[in-house]
Parts: sequence; C-alpha cells; structure tokens
Amino acid sequence: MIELVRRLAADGIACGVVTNDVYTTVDADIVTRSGVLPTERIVGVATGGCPHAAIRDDVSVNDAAVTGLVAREPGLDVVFIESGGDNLTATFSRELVHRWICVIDVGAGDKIPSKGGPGITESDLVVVNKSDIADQVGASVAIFRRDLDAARGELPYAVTSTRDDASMASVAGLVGAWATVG
Amino acid sequence: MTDLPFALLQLTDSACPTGGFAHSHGVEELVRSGRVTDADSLLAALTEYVAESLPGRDLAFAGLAWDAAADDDVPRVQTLVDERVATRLTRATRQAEGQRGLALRRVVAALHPGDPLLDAAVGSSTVLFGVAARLLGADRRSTLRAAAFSQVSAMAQAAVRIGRVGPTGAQHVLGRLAGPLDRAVADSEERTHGDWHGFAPSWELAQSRHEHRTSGMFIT
Repeated sequence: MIELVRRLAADGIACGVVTNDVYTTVDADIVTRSGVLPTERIVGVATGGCPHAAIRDDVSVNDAAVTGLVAREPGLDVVFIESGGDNLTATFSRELVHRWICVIDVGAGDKIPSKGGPGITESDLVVVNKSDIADQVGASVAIFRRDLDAARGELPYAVTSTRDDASMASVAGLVGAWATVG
Repeated sequence: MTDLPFALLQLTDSACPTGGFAHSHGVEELVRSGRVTDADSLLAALTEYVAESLPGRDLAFAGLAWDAAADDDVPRVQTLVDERVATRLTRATRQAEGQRGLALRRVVAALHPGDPLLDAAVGSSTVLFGVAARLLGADRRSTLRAAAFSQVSAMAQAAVRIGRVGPTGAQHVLGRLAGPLDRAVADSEERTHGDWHGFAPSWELAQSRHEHRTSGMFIT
C-alpha cells in the first residue's frame, strides 16, 4: 500500500490512509515512518477485536475515522482503509468502501486462491504481491494465475512485486483511474 | 409466568454458541445466483421466505414443541423431532438440526439442568428451542416471535458477511420485516400437528444447490 500511495501521490492524487490493528496503531506508525504521506493524513484504528469485524459487521469505528479524516483534510481524492490478517472470509462492507482490493502474499502459498472466499471471488481487484519470492517459498505464480482465472471470471487481478516497476505501475494506473472517476 | 424471560433473549442472542454462524440457510446460494445483490433484493427474498416457509416449517415445529413441553409429553416431543428432521430437504440441513440441537442443549443445561423433555428434543434445534423456551418460562407467542426473528436475523447477518449488504442496511431490512414476521407468527399459530405445508421454491432450490458446492463460506 505504501508503494501504491507513493505512486499515486507522484501522479498528483491526494491520498489518506486509515489502518486497522487489534491493539495498537503499528501499521499507521509504519506508514508514518515511510514518509509517503503527511502525518495528518494517516489515522490508526485500534479495533479491540478481530479487524474483519470493524470493516464488515460493525463499521462504525472505521466510518468515524474516515469521516474525521475527510473533514480535517477536505482535499483528499482517495482514502485507503487497510485491514490485514490471513482471513479468507474477511470482506469490506460496501457501506464503508467504494472499491475493495484483496491483497494476498505469495509467501502464504499458491493454494490460497483455490480456497475461495469473497475476497478472492468478489473483490474489485485481487493483488498477488511479492511474486519475486515465489521460488524461495516454493510457490508457483502459474498456479495463482490458473486459480484466479477460474475464480474471478472477468474481474481483474494483478501479480505484483515492489521490485517490478511495471507490475506496480499497472495497479497504480487502475486505482488512479478509480480515484478519478469514483 | 414472564412474557419475555431473559433466558429467551439469551437463547436468541447471536453470541449463543449453537453454531449458527456457520449457516446462511440458502442466502449464500441466492447471492451466487444473482437473486440477492443488495438490501432491496435481500428484503424481497426474505419476505418470500417469511411468508411461505417460516410459518409451516420452523415456527410450527417450535410452537408444537412448546405445547408438548407444556403437557410434559416426552413421546410427542420425540415424534416432533423425527418429523422435523424428516421434513428438512437436504442432508446438510438435517445434520444441522442435530448438531445445533446438541449445542443448544449444552447451553440450556446450565439454565435448566436435567429434564427428560430436553433430552428428547436434542435431535432438533427447532424443537429443542420450543421446549426450552417453555421450560424457561416464555409464553408461546414470545417463543414464536423470538424464533422468527432469530432466523431472519441470522440470514441477514449472512448477507453482511458475504459482503452484498452492509450492517446498517441489514438492520433496515430486519426493521421492514416486522409486519411479515407478525403475520408469519399468526399463521403458525393456526397450525396443527402434521400441518407442515410451506414451500419457498427459490430457497429450497438454493439449499439443494449449495449442498453440492465444493467451496463456500457457509454449511447451508
């Protein structure tokens, strides 16, 4: 997400970030330390429970965070709401977000897309990140592609690495277009 | 007798560990088929379910189980369990009756230990709910209303978890179901033993199709 925000900012798209952690604001602190955004555009939410509940079942704490951020920073073009965890049932409520990107990690194994779940089948974009470590972890990018082709039909997905400029540029282009048209 | 004992609220609380989180009761398949895409289409589908399936199936069994418990009639409870399980159309829903019945029995044991009526009802969560509600002091209508709301609340929550309906939207749907739920309860109160008719084809087909899926968020 940091790399994506950096590219969007370079293209003149004003971004904000809301992160979700259970007990801390560690992820917000990481974004802050990256220097990719002014501190006032970063909000850390400590959910007090599994973050998937705060982005799906009861989104009020994230809704308040986004509302406060946008009120404080009225010029934002896009706000990213980050929530992590190895949870194939996690979904972002459409009451909270306009678009939903499901990011999976090659290191989690090439079995992940075949397991299904709404992130794999329903999200607006699946990103298979860290493709550069596939050999080291014994995963096959071809299997990721095969199973995502089967699971997603016409919906897009991208295989990326922050070390592969073209792959990151393609995702930034798509998200930048969303930010422009809504 | 208290109209709405706290114990009944406890049994219908989504935090009550009876395995309800694992069941969409057909909602997942209706999402897959494109029938449920948002709050409005969920409301339409649930309205059909509440009118056509709920009174003669879930509520009739819960109500007649309440009656059997009031009469302390263990054989009648056992008969209701057999008939309830037999009228579930899919293997998954039949198994769920028993599994959720066992889980509910464990919860009720803490509230009302050692009763042969509960032991007789353990094969069906629906029948057990009616029996337990009676033993815990709930009146018949409150029992049916609680059972009805609990059912559609679980289905709406499944739609939230699938991602097609937001949590606030789901609450709006439930609010708009108040009238249909009242009518379903009234309909079920007219049901006598054996009057199990009730059929919502799209829901029954959805459950049957779901049973043959190789992957899904929910068991049913």
